Amino acid sequence: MSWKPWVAATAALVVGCAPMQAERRVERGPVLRTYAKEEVLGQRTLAATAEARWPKLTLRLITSDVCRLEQREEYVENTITEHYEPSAAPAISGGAANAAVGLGLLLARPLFSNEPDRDAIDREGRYGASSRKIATGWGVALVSLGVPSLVTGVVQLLRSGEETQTRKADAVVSLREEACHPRPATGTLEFAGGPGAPPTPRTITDGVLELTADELLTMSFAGVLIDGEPAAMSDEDQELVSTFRLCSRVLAEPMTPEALAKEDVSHLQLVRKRVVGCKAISGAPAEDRLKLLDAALAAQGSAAPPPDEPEINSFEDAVAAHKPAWNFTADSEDLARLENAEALRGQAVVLRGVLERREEQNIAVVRVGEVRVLVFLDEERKWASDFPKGSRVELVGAVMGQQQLGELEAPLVRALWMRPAL
Amino acid sequence: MRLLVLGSLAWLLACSGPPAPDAALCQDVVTRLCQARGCPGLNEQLALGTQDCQGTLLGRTACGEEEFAFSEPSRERFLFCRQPLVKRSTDPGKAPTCEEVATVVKDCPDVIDFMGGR
Repeated sequence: MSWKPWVAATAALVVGCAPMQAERRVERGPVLRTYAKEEVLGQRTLAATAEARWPKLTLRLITSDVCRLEQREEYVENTITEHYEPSAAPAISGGAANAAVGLGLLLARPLFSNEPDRDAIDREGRYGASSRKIATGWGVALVSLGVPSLVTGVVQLLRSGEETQTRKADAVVSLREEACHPRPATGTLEFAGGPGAPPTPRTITDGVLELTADELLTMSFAGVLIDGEPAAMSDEDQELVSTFRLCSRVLAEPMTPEALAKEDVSHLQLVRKRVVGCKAISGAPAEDRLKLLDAALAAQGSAAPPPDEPEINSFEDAVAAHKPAWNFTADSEDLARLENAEALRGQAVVLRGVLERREEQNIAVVRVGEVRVLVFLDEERKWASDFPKGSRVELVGAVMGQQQLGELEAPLVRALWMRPAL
Repeated sequence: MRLLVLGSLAWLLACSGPPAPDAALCQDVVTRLCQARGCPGLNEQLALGTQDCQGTLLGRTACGEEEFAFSEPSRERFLFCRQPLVKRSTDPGKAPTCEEVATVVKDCPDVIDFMGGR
């Protein structure tokens, strides 16, 4: 007997206390502003830049912090919460139906008989309930279930809808690390690289190191360090330092017309080329020397190379520009011509052979068949140092005559381009 | 909440009507016993012989009369002894089993004596 009210109460609670369901979504609104945020990471960088103004080479050493630079965007963020209850409609319809039927039964009570059911006597000795009592019971029960359900459904329906919360949010759109807060470097400057003992360290206080051409004559270094930390230098600046150092020698060597008259054409052309390179340095006294060299070359019947000489960037460029007269390989029938190199002087040739050894940094011995040829390599060309001993090479060059080098007397060819051969 | 309590109460009250008069209750028991007249030993216990069961028992107990009221056995005792007969159903058209009748005969000799006119 006691389970009936509990069933009724539980059913009513389940229907009446149903929680609302909610769906939340975040939408990004318009951007309000963008801003940068800088954070120092506690690391340091050291960089050097070179500036040449004859007769001084100035290295500026800059130390910087490493900063993390964040580019951020501040924007409007809308958080939209959508409340809904899928059971609201069934609750309303079910509740309304129950409440309507229950109310109808209660209102129609007078129409039902009030006489008890005398057909049966229950276990307690009572007659069965009258129709009116049964109708009242059902009416009250249906109203009890229907009204809360109806109210719940209506409340849920009223609570359904969207709720928008707006706030400012920000996001990182880019992140990078870069040098920041540059300042002149101070400390003990050491020179590194280069042959021989390194130059004496110096103390710098304002981040500037000035070297004169005279000082550079006796110095050899590839880079600098401050308090043991190497300074980074761009390729351009490294080349400028290298050029300045070369020019400090080229422009310091005594040069007289008498001495030049004794030099051969190839040497004069090489020196001239180096002097021309020094014109890149502001204030470098290259013009007087160029005039002397041009005069010496003219005296020996050789004109200075025209300023618009085609630039050679490949083996094919060299072949096209110089149009070799001879092609010497191990099985070439013309190989014997090399034995009279003086007759070939000034002519362009192609050689294919094996690089046997290097006599000096810029002189290689290439064996073509049984003939050994001295090959002059221009150290300033990138390809000039790329060939190991024993490698097969092919080159385009100009014959410069017969040359005695130590015990070896052989034809000398100035390489215009050399490359590995198959 | 109040509505729920009221609803439950109304539901419970709606399940039953007023107490049946003693005469109706007595007649209900007579009807059920007579439906089981064929059960072994019941005819002898009620000393019916070949007589009409319903008429004989109503006559002996006088509960065919409207103003009949229980004295000995009491209404409560009668209700208790009626329990086995309505165990399966309170429908008056449904006869009790012989086992249920035997329980009454065994547990309620005073009611059997009342029915037997002793």
